[in-house]
Amino acid sequence: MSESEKKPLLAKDSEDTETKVYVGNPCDPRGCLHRYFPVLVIMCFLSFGSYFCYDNPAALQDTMIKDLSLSESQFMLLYSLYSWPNVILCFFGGFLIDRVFGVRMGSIIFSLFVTAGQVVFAFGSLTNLFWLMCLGRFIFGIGGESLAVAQNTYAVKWFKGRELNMVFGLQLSFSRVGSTVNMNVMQPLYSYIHNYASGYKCLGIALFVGAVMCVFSLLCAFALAFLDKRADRILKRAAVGSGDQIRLWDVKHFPLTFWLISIICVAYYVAVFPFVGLGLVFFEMKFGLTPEQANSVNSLVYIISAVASPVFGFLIDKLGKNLFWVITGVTVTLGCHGLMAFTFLTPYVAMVVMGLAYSVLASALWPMVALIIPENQLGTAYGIMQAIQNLGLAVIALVAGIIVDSKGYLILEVFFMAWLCLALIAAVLLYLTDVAKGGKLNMSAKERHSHKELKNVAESDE
Amino acid sequence: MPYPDCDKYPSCEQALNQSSSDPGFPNLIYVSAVGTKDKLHFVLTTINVPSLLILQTSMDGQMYFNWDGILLADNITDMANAINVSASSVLYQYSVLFTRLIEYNDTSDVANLAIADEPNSKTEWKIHDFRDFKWMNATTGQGGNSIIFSTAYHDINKTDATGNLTGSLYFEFEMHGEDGRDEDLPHLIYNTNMTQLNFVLDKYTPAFANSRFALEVAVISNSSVHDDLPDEMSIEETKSIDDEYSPGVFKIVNWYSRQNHKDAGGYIQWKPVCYLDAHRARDKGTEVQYYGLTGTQHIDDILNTSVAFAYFGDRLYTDKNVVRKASNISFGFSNDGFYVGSNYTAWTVSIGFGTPPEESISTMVIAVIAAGLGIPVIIIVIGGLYVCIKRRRSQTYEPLGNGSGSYAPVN
Repeated sequence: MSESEKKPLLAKDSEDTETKVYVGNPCDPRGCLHRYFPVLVIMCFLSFGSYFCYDNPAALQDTMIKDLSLSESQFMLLYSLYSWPNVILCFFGGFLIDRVFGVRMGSIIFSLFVTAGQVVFAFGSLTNLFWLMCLGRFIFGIGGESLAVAQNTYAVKWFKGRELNMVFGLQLSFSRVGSTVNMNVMQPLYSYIHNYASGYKCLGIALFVGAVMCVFSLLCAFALAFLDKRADRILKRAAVGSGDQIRLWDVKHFPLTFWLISIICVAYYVAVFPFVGLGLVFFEMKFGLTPEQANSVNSLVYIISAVASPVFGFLIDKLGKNLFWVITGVTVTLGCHGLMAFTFLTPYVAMVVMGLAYSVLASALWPMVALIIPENQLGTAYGIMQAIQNLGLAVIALVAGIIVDSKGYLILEVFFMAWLCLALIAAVLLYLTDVAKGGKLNMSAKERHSHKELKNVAESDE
Repeated sequence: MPYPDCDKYPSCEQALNQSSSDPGFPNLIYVSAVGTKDKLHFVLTTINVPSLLILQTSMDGQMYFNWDGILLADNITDMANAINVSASSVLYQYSVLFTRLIEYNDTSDVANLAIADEPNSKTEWKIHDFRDFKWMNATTGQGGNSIIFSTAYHDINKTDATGNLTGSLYFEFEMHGEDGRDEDLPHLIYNTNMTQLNFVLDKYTPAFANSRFALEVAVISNSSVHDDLPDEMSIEETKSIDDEYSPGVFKIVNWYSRQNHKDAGGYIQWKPVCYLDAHRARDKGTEVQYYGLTGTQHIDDILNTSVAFAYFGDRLYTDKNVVRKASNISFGFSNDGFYVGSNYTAWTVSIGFGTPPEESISTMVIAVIAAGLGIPVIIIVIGGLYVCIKRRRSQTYEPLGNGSGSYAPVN
């Protein structure tokens, strides 16, 4: 019987791998300690600067509008100059990482763009030149999203087959930390600088502090590049980007499963983030919350995901079954939207659960790409996913605004639920396609491990 | 209905001869709605305070106005019963009065009259008695179905260099000859038994930096048909999950003049939203709050000069079947920038007779829900069944199942 043949063999193998764990000292790339410290820590701070500066305008909205005498639409332009170009840019960013720069050079270059963009932005404010600020945001945008792609690629390179889900969760969590720190720090910082300078000059100086964060992230990019190169040398890892080089047209050979993951990604994210953007009034008007309460409910998704993502990522690493968790995340989020659309139950419940569901989904979804796309094409793959997501978010945020103004929140919620249903259908299709291909995506951690071992055995036999 | 003779009444004469910048016009509009079994009489007026008188009579009902009493009254005994009705039966009598405009300095930005009025709060108040307002000659609004009573009160309205008024406070009453739904947000339902009122404060000069406004409303109800249940008023709020007609507003409020006989009483219906821009939109909306019903003792002197007194006379106080209640309706919500943020506030309310219109979920919404959620569910169910059946079949033919695929390469 095939089952009885398999079991003892596997048990032995997994025991062996567990005894093989070698901690080592932080400087030794062969030990697992090196992976966590310094690599993981530096990796998390790689995009800290960009997340910190992305929301600078939001944190300083009132002062910015006043100091620079901006209109509401000029202010919004600072965000759309980031998001719209990135519908295309991060696709090319990912491709450039794979084909031209490699992940090390790529992350340094994109960090440079982020830093330069923020410096130009701050300088524009210091000189009260709005067009210069716009240019700064655009340059910042060229770097920002592509840097996130580079960060994902790094994560896969270092953690694939180990703690990849947790690392993705931790990165997500750090992006939230970055914007939260920004939201809480910028205003007091502005007030402090106000003792020495006033008006747009004060604003410019505050934004230069943001640029310091970008420089810090840039240093992380250099450090990471150094460590990565060193590890390649010591561990004799094949450098990413060598071997078969991807061409732009190769994306058409990406498997169906990848496109299904992209559909899940966009259909899920558009049902969560544009909703958070429109949530304040909804919570005030439908559930009778005060503006402060509405604000805290609205930020629940972010706060919970910052805390829960690494935890869920860790659990998913232990349990596997990524696809099961994705389907769970989508279904639970669907239920949360249903609760808010069709009942008057306090939104605290729905938003807490939604925050948890989002964390589960985010930490299970993104690592799946690494399981189906070869490593030398991962940058491109993550770039495409990010690009589709940006396009979805930009378009749906506009559409959602139109729907809520003309048809109200009930229809808006139904609209979001329809997107979640689409995500669910895509997830079920993904499951079916995956099962037909051998069920790689939904293996438990144990199965995946043994699968890898068997594969290694098969390879060494050859 | 005889028109007043302008030669006889100085106030009428004055109003006609005065320019619009120095007005003081006693407007009174009479509208009747003739049904199959009864007749509704609406009197809309700015005499002393902006108010409505609504009567339900038998088909032969006729109203009479004693202009001497209404326009020349020096004391309240002259005013009493200046408005009369002759009918074989008067079924229901009801009056709605806007007695005072309340202005307060909401320094703590809580937008709540009850909190502002707490004993130890240092809220500054400015109470504007509507008797002190002067009104311009009523004009017809857009579409010809409405009548606008606009104020011109020099203390509170700015005038530009040429002396023209730049700000205004107005009441626009709209009547409809058919059922329908208001074109403007919050798209209240209307029918032939009501009038829809737009109360608008446009570029009104506030007294304080953080001014917010509230309206004091009084309702007087008198039914001639009684049973064991007492005639009591109530304000009831109904929640709905459906905000398709007024995005962002999930409640509707009804002030019933006869809580126990809703079909044979009057009502004031509104959605708890007012708008901060003449181009009404979801994001220009802010909240409208109401407070508990109180007696009218503190405003009886205002009632005594109103059309309600002109109609009811002393019965207003002596008849135990006459119920008088007042409440405040306040505009604004924390963080909405106070009145000065927009210098505009508009509130729409329906005032009518009978059971108030009820909102229901439209077929459009049901269709969207069915399509948006039904179709995916059907796809998932059918897909699920298909997979289950396929698996079961494949299991009967291949006992090894799916597991075989994963380690096939090993062999």
